[in-house]
Amino acid sequence: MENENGFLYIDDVTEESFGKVNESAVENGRIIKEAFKGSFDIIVKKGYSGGRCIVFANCDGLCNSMRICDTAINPLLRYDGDFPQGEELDFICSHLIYGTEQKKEKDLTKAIMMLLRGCLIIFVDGVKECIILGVQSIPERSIQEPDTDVQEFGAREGFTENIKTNLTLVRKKLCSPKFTYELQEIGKESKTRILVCYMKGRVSEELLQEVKLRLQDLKLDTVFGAGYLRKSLDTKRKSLFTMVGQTERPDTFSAKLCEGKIGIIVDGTPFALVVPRLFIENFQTLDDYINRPYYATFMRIVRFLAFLISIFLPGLFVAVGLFHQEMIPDDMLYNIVLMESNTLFTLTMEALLIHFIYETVREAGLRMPKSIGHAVSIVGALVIGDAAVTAGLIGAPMLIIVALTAICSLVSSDLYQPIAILRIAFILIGGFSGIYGIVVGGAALIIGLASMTDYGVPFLAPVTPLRISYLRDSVVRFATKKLGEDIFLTERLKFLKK
Amino acid sequence: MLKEKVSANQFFMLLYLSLLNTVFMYLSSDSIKIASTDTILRPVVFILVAFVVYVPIGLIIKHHNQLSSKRLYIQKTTFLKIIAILYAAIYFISILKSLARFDLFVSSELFPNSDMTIFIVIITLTCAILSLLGLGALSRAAGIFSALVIISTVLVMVSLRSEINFMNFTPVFENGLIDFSKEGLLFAAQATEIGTIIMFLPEIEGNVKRAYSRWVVFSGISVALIFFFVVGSLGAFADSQLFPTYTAVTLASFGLLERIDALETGVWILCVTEKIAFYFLVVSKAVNYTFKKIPQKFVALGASVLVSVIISFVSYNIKRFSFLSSDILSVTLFLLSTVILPITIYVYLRRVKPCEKTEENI
Repeated sequence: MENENGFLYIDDVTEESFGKVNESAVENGRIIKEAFKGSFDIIVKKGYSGGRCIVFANCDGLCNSMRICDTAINPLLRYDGDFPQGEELDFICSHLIYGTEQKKEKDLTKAIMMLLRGCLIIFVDGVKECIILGVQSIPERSIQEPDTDVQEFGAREGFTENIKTNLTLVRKKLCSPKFTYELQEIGKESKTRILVCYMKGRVSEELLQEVKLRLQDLKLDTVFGAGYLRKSLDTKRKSLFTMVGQTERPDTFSAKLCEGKIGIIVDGTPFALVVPRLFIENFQTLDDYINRPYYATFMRIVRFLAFLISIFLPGLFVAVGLFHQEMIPDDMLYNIVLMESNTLFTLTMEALLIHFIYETVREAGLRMPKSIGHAVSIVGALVIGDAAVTAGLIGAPMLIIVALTAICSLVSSDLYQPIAILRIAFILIGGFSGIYGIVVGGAALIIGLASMTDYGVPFLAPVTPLRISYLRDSVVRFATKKLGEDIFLTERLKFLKK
Repeated sequence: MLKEKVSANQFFMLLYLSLLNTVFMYLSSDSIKIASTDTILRPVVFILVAFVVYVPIGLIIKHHNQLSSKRLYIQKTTFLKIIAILYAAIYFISILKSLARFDLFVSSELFPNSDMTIFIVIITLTCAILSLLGLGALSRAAGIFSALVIISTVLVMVSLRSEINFMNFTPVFENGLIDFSKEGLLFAAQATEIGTIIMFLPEIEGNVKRAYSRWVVFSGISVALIFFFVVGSLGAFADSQLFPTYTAVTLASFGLLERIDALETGVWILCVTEKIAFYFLVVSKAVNYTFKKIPQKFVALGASVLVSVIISFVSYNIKRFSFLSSDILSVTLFLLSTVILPITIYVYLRRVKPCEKTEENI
């Protein structure tokens, strides 16, 4: 049960205290029954062995009943000898029960917490300690290909909701003693276990301490997802962008740890967090390291351009259409004017309307039952694509612009949220002050991004502040041999000085 | 405590953009003619002047470095607070100067038929808000903006090469050395940003002297190249243009891109935004130095409101505009910010006794 890192054990003081383990096994059983009054899944069973009363307690559903019988109850109850005085638990652990995960515990509160994590608790009459036996069989989803963070050539396994499975997946990728993790428990009521993972020797001590400090400051009743932790990990809460990354892939997670970052695996969620995340990482994928460098570089440029298009294109179209018609070639301008002249709204209103419809259809597609997904897609496509144009609500050029923008915004899926907001903002700016207003807005956006620093690392590093040696894996990607010459460490991008 | 430091190179990129903005919005006037080969050589005077005015600044930097190495600092005194207020006033007027010029550019070249005061007010408020993000944000963004400016300017230069007529170049020192020197000095006097170095010394990391030298030389070369293309492509026509650099850019076309001027103007607006935001930062920092109880954000926003009000009075009033863009005002601001005040500060610093730097009094 216990390993070097203390995995599976709760070291923090819990709110409700049940005191120490009593000498009377029956009394311990009674306390547990009382604590979980009315909970039919908490099973407390009494038996006799070695002339003593033995009480077993477990949580049905979280542990394997057959395994309990085979490894603990049967061997123990069939034993007809005596237990050596003063060494009862040691004797039981070494001679009678089986299982690699065993621990003795004096604190009843901690024992009860382990009971809730799927362990079997064994109380022996006359002993002020209990045995905790790891017999967990927590229902979980099998390892599947992640839905997000999809790779063309990468591994097909993603994190699951089980913290132990996730840890195993990372351990499988990082067969190194440098890979370390620390268990913490967060959430006053949910007592969610999280693992703060890092690579010793690669992570900076300051960064590690900062992350731990921020996690300690988190005061929440419940933590049901990795996103709950963002509240304390992300200091730029008012910004549209975040420096806390998340991934569903163990390989991406492991790669980030090797860069000196800190990963946080949260029990009950298939998404792990990584801090700090740089802006440039939104355009990088694991496939880039599998593909040829020239193609990886090309794709990164495509992704970056898609990001720019998804933010600026509708705003620019509105600005050019309203204020700078001379920038459009005459033939094209004639066609656009012809189609737009039949519509009811101004370009700005059209752009806003169609984006609103698009976002609504997208949200509906995301939340509705999958079985009717196709129907909504068809209705959406028909309404937006055909009926709205025919009815003269929107112009065909605007439809093309929005369609292109929508596709581009999905290229860097992690950036979708800021893109959706910024796009609307730039439509309004473009409609109000033309292309030059968009330039001012763009300048404000860049300065805003440049102002973002967290954990001492600038968001726009290594582009600005410029770290030429790290540019080899930024927008461009050099050959793998060159990348390996000098390890890309987050620590070296830091710029804050004491 | 962790402090955000800005590398010297980044800081000077900020000053580079600020200087280029001056060149892009360079006005031809009766006193300064553009259509002359001497214009291309004016940056040489700028380089010489920039190195001369560095002497008092360099002495202050040396003094500051010595204090830092011994963990000493100079306490705030009434005298230094007055100096800070003077700096705030200088850069407040510089904001007005830059914005008035930009207002003229927008209303005369970009949107001749529209009232652009609202646009200018929006830019002013935006810049004030951006200044609150600090020197780190502005200087890091300057890295990206500089790259954009350089790329777009090179693109314009490449496309303008066919427009260059060597008959446009007049003999060197056609009007004599005195006139050349005068015009050169007047051009150099536009570079009031040099004075900001002293204010940000504690936040700049690295070899300031080396970065300054690079900045001066690189800026001089850039300006000379821009003027070369302006004079070569426009010739005598340049003197009849209000914004000759812009007129030259409108001649440029590159393959499918027939409206490079729109692209270039966009990049210029980046420079204006960066410069005004930087000057707002200078003003708010200087005022905050004197009146610590007034937060920087209130100073910046207050200054932006004041600037907006003044600009709306300057707009469409040529007398007020002429005062703001007069040579005498430029020279006064330049001499005050880069010569008189730095010398005064240096003399003062040599006289006062520095205190020991401890955690309590930092």
